[in-house]
Amino acid sequence: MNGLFTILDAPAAPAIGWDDLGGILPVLVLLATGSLALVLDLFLKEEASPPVPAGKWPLSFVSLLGTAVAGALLCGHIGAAGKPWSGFLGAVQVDLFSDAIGLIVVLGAAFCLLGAGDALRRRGIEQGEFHALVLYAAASMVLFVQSASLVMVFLSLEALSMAVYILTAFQRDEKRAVEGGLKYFVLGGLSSGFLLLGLAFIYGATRSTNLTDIAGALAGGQPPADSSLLVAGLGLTLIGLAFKVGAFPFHAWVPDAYEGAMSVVTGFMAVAVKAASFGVLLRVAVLFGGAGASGPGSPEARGALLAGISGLAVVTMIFGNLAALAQSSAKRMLAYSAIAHTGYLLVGAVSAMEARPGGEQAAGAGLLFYLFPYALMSLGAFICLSHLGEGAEDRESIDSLRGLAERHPAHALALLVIMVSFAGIPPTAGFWGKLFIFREAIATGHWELALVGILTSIVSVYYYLRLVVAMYMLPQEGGLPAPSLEARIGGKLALAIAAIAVVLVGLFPGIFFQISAACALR
Amino acid sequence: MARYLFLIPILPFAGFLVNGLAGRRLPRWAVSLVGCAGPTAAAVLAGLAFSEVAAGPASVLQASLGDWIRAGRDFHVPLALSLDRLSGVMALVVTGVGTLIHVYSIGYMREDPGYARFFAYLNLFMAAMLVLVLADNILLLFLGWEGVGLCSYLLIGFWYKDLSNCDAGIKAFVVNRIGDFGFILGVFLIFITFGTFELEAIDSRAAAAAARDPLVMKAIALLLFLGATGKSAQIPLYVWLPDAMAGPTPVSALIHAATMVTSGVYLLARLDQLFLASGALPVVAWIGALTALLAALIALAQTDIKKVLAYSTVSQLGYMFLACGVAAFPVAIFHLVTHAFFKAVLFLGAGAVIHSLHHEQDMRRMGGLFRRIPLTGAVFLAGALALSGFPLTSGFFSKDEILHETLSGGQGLLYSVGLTTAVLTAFYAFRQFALVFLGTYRGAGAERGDAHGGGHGTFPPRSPRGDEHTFPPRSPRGDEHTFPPRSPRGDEHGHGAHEIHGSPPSMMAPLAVLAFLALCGGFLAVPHFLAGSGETAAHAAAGTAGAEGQVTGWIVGGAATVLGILAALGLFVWRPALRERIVQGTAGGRLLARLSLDKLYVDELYDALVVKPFWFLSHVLFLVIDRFVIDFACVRGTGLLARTLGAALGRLQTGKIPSYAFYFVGGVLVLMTLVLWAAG
Repeated sequence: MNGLFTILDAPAAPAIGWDDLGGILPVLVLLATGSLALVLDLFLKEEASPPVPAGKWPLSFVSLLGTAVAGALLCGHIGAAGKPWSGFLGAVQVDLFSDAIGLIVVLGAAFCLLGAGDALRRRGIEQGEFHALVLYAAASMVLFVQSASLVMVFLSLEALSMAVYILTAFQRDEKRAVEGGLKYFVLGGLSSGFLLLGLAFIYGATRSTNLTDIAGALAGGQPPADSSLLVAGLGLTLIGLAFKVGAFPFHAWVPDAYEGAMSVVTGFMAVAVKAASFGVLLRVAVLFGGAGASGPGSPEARGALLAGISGLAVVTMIFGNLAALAQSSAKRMLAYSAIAHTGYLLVGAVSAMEARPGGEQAAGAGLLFYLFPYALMSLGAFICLSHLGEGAEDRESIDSLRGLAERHPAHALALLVIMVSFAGIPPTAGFWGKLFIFREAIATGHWELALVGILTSIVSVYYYLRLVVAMYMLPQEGGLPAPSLEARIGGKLALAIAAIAVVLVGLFPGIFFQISAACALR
Repeated sequence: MARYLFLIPILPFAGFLVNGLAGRRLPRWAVSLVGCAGPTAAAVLAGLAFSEVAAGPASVLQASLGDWIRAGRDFHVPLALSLDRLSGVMALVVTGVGTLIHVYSIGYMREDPGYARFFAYLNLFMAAMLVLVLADNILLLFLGWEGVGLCSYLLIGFWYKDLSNCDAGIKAFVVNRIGDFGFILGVFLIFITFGTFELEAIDSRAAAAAARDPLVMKAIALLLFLGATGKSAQIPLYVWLPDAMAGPTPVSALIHAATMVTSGVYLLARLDQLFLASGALPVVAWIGALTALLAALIALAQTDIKKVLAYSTVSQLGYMFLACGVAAFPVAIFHLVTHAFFKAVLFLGAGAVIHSLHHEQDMRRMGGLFRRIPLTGAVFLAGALALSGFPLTSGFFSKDEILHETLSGGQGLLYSVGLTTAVLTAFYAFRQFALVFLGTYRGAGAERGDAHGGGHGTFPPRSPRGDEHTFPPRSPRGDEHTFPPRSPRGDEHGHGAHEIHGSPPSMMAPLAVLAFLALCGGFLAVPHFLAGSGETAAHAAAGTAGAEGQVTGWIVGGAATVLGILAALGLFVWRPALRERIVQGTAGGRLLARLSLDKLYVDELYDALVVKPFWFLSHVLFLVIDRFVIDFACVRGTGLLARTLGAALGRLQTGKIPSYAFYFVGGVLVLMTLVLWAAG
């Protein structure tokens, strides 16, 4: 007994205390709400047919409340311009950048949960597990961007991946859902292997698992113990992250998983998984390959990362945009468009690596800015597809959107705004996002990336406007009857918010860009 | 007061939003209320603001809503308004005359199905015009400039079901585009030269910049002046204004006489130091004088009641530019103000006549109306007197100051052009008055039987040539009868059965106010007021020094006016036979009448020199560039290529995990090679 007390009292030994928990309060709120949803579900009666319109509304209510609280906490931290905080023995680091990415993750979760009530009820699978999984995934994602240790990176990535695998296949009596989930899982396992190997190499090369320590050592002029091992480790880590963001040629799971999952889940994946993975990718890229205040810590690592990310950006932009042209399913088209956007965001990551700490350009402001409209557009588009669905089916083919403008003019208008923004036409948010990303690229001397981006954006106008043409200019063909949408409040609300926000951000980009610049990596 | 400055344009804009969005569902009284409330409130606010500025000699009201555009470090445009004496006078004219014309429109547009749309456009115009006038920087001014252009286009084509109205709108838009192109280039040059858009800053730094780089300053001034010639209908871009009479008459009065077309003059007066320093003023003066003369010549023989007034407007605007050209900017603004009064009276009076005669616009079918609608006749007479520059009316003082300034500036030739134009002005003004109000009624209606025959005898139906540039007066009800009726007058629509009726009080009250202003507005000492604000102190001094010259000028100017009036009355009332003899009998008379009626063939000249070659070039470019290069090679070719590639790439997506894993591993190999190679 005596010995135990002396250990606890020993001032020198670092320990994990209440402060550490306080630092990751948003994560805890999400986890607790998820668990609450699981328990709450036990007390809610399963309504037999016919399904009541409201369904298990307390589930949605509680889980949305959780995301709202978490979002408010993150906003509060950003608003107070909180200082970077490190906890859990240096495994977790909270700064404005992780807050901003976390906010986008929480936004994705909230939209997903808003639209999920209708989508689940129509399929007769409105269970608390869904809400819990979304919240757990969101919590893991927030932790993922907050990770400051190699071990933490891997653990939180696996936690979020598990939750998302299950969400993909949540509609388990649907063949495509199971198929998509399985493909995602198998390929995800493959990529995790490479990522783990990469992290191990980095540890081997630098003798440390703490990212801040490693970066500090590199910046302090201490060369890594084994430079080529570090480069190999970074390359493999990049592959693992490139898989998560869906960059070519590690994209193959994207179309199948996106198509198989329920559209609300697809929106969540496209936004939250991608935002969190980009957060870590950017952090790794800037830590190891950034220009640095006094030159890069390791020129080899910098050269390798610049080449790797630029290469991925170019092929991803070209592949995503060209492959999207040939799709006849709106959902698959949006999946390829998500790949194309990964390409644009990678361009943002490259220019972020050029920014000097304390210099004029904040690293990754453009990327961070674009993530926000991208999140709104993707969530809006996928929720619209879900919202217009019928029974177990979402509205998926482009042809099924024909004549939508006459049947549901408000929905058609919202989708029109979102498509115009995707295509990057002013005065929508998407225009500014592309502008800032490409402008940063040109300003940092990567004009060739900007050129590819601009040219492929031109190509993209074709497939985005195909949806608009179908909605506004083609007559409805026999086909699907107009579903009655009166009861589907959640999806309607989400769609309206997304479309209005896209326009508002487009009209007042300055404010959002300032926030992005303030939250960018220092 | 400065805090409320933004309300001045915002209030009419609010009216536009309400009437534009919900007007069709509102009852007519509500539309009228909303439509008139915005301009009225703006007028009150402008009056308050103006009284504040007028109190101090150099006080300026300023209000800013922060940055409008910010890009980079040194490009930022504030959303700021400022009201000094010059813009205060303009704002008063715009809101004051504008409000009266809004009230007038209640009566004039009463039966139009597009009632709410009309008020919405009119309010939008007011908002844009006020932005133009109050703008603190030239970019915001340009926003208003384009805004009024848009409203002008919308209102010229207000009765859009008639294609010729739309054509007139497009003509106005396209011609203005040429001017605006110059304006934009001028703005670019201004920013390059001065690094700012702020009007005051530009103006105060102009002299120094001109010393540094006279050529650039001349270019800036001429480019801005090109913009002004477009908006203010001067040579060579005046051709759109006569066609713009296709719009409803209140529009002609407000936009195409009193306010919008004067914004070019305002631009010059706003940037007076820039123009003074640039050395481009002789060009301005000559363009102005020649436009005044040319338009007055054309106005002599026009038969459409509104066309006469349109050319008269062009001519009077020429006077204003002449004043600018001799560096008498306050005098130009003075004439702008009086012109706003008397031209609004004339247009609205003409509108009342047209209204009374059920949309008859041909003066050859009028006459003797003074006895039937004496009130309208009286206000029209007031307007005509002021336009002619009859002693002691408003036009007398302002026109005379222009001539005086021209002469004292040593410009004898310009002075003689101006004086000739003054005679012509008096002549066509009273020719019009005589044709419309004096003599005997020649139109359809009461003297149906003999007017029928007699009308034909004296005034043969217009030749096809005369018709093609004239606008068929449209019935606001949008019904089907078109003009000129090929069938004899008093046709199946039963026009003859209509009585000639007076106009409602909502039309007559604004007319009375404006008529009073047209007669007495000359006693407003606008030039001295403006000069007091430091605009051109030298000219104020010169004005007082040359007082004796002024008296002589008054006598000469008055004599010219009386000469013109007597000639007109003589030829059109007392001795019509003499006129016939001059016009028909002498070769010179015939030629002059023909040339004037056909507007000196300027439209035809432009057609041959500009439109046709342009059309041809466009066609060639269309075939070569558009059809072949863009459509065939670029659009179709690249589209096909992209889609083929896309389909090929889509085939990669086999749906099988092994092939996906294969891509993955392939990607790993390539990427790792790249990474390791890049690391060296």
